[in-house]
Amino acid sequence: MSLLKVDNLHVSVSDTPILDGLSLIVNPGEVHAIMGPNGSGKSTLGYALSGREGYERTAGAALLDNLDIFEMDTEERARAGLFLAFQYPVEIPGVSNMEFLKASVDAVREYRKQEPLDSMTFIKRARELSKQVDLDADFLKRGVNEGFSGGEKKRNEIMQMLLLEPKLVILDETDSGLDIDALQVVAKGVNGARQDDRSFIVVTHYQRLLDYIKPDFVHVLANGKIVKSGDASLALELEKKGYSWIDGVEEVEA
Amino acid sequence: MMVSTSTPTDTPVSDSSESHAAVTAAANNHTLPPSILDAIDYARGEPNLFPNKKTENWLNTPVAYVLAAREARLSASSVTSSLESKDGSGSGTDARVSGKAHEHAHPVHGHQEEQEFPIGDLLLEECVTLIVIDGAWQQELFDHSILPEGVRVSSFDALDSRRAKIVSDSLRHSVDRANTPFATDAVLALENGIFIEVDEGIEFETPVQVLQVNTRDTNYHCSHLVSHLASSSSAVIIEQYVDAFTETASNEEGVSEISAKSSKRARFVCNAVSEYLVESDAKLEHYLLNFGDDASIHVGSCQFALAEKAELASFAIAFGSDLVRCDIGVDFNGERAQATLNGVYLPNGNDTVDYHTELRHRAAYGKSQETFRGIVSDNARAIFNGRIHIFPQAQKTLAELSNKNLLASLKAEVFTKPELEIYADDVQCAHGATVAALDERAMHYLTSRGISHSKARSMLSAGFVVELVNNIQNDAVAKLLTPMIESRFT
Repeated sequence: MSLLKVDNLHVSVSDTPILDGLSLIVNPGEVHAIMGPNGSGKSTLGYALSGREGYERTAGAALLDNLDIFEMDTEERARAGLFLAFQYPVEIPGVSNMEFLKASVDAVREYRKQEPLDSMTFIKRARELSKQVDLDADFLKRGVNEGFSGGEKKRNEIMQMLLLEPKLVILDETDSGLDIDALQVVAKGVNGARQDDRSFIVVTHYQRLLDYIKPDFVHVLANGKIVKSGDASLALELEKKGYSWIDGVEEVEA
Repeated sequence: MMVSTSTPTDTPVSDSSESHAAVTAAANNHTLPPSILDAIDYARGEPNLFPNKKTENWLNTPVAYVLAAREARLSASSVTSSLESKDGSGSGTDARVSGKAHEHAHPVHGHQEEQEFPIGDLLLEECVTLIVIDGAWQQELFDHSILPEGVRVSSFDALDSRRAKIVSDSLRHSVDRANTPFATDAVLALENGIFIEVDEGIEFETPVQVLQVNTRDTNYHCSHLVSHLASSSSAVIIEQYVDAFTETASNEEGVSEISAKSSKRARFVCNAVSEYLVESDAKLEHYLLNFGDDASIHVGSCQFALAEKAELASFAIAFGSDLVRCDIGVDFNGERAQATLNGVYLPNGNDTVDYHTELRHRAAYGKSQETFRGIVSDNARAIFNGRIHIFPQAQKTLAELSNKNLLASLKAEVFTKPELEIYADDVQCAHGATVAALDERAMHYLTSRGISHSKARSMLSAGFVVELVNNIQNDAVAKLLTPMIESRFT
């Protein structure tokens, strides 16, 4: 059974259609890369699936573990195992990372009918994972993403992913703004989290990230739908030739 | 104060009740020292007690209340409140107020049943507490021997002429400085008050908690507090206003919760005037905690006069009442005086909170930093008017003012007006105000991690004021406020 089944999904933002009949099936354990020119709807897919306000599904369906995603609130989708690693993680001064992570873990564990983690265990786990993604343990006391560099924000996203142990991870241009070292940290975090019952959708502009995170499938998203799919070699081809040779991709003015 | 010619409808207090006022005042105040009586006369001479400020329409209602309440005060026979003290089991004082309305009390009360209000929950740890019921200090509950040498608390009627002069000057000052008629009326209604003094060089670290409990026994009462910190002294003074009919309960963790549920109770007005004289090199840490019920009106004025190198750190919080209107003023009279003024307001329901602050830099090298933040929920309304006034001689002043507001509902309203009035050319001043709604992106971020919508809202709301709350120096106050703020948003 597929983990994620997106069927003919149409999504509008402020009455402007962005996704125009996107279909995608992700089976457990698979890694799918989604590439495409600017404005093709890559980020919209992540926002729509995660339930951001203003991203309105106008037609089509999406099932996560056979549950209708669009029948669920954002928090319910997260608890059911959907995780979006944000392209632009939000800074929230006044709410500490520790408070934020604890609240997240508590909510997710409660949904999964797991015992809540006691504070000591939680802090220990959070510190271990911070170390794993190269974040100073001190960051737990700071405001959520407050004053973080671009790289720190992305590593924080990976740290949250590791902590929450989701089933489906959408990495929304997690590689953008990262130097090579940070990219490797992120890739290592993702690769370490790969397992048979966890799937990834890697949204990216560049082949570079896919050198580190090997995808099973590569899709080209253009004008709100997937216009071409292939294996990892497609990404290499795109790197060489760009998008314009693919049917259904219009030249997008920068 | 603005001078305007009042039409008869603006001042519904008739001549006969004014003369009645004089008689009543004279009858109630005969034990006060002569100079304090002079201050009352001074207030009576204030020509413009209830000006018609068309620009501030919100004033109409509370003014009407004050007027009605004054009339009631003048016409009702005296109201008594009895207070029993009994030994608590375990820690702390277990004083209980048993308030019973006098049979001739104003009909606004209706008939009331005797009620008990636990004061024990409100006593802060490791503080010297003065209990004030409906503006009257309960001296019999106070043990003067707990004060160290060099620190005294007295009632106005027990002051010698030198101290009475200090109080009298302060009361005149509050009449002159306050932007509302309330301070003036409070002086007019003066019966007694509290005078706290700390002698030169005495650093009094134990906080003084002035716990003002309002019962429903009166529908209008005033309270007066004058504090004098002599040179190089220091003190921590906590003004705490609580309505006895606020439902206060301790939950299982022993956390004080205040929930104001009923909005149909009789309204009453508490009018509090506080004056602080901080002499050279003295330090005052001050708290103004307003835990009023949503059916009450709290007005008043809190004024600070800072001498050379005096330091003030003040924190104000209002959870919201039918109306909280507080005028906070600081006079930087001596050079190098400095003040930090922080404030938080969290009105919900149909509350209105109105802080008017005025920092008057009158001497050189003064420093002020003012930060007020508010979260306005439901149909509530917040008004913030913060003014920095820099006089010509106040060169080299550094003054910063910031007011940030979070609108937590579509119907909430905020009126904010930071003002700078600068007459010196070599100063650094900054002021700013913002009004915003809860950040939709932050909400999505939190909920996308499994956090419920309501929890996310409460985290973001509490996070908006947490910086100011974390900066509270006094542990007892921080411990009292933190759970109250958290429970406000859950």
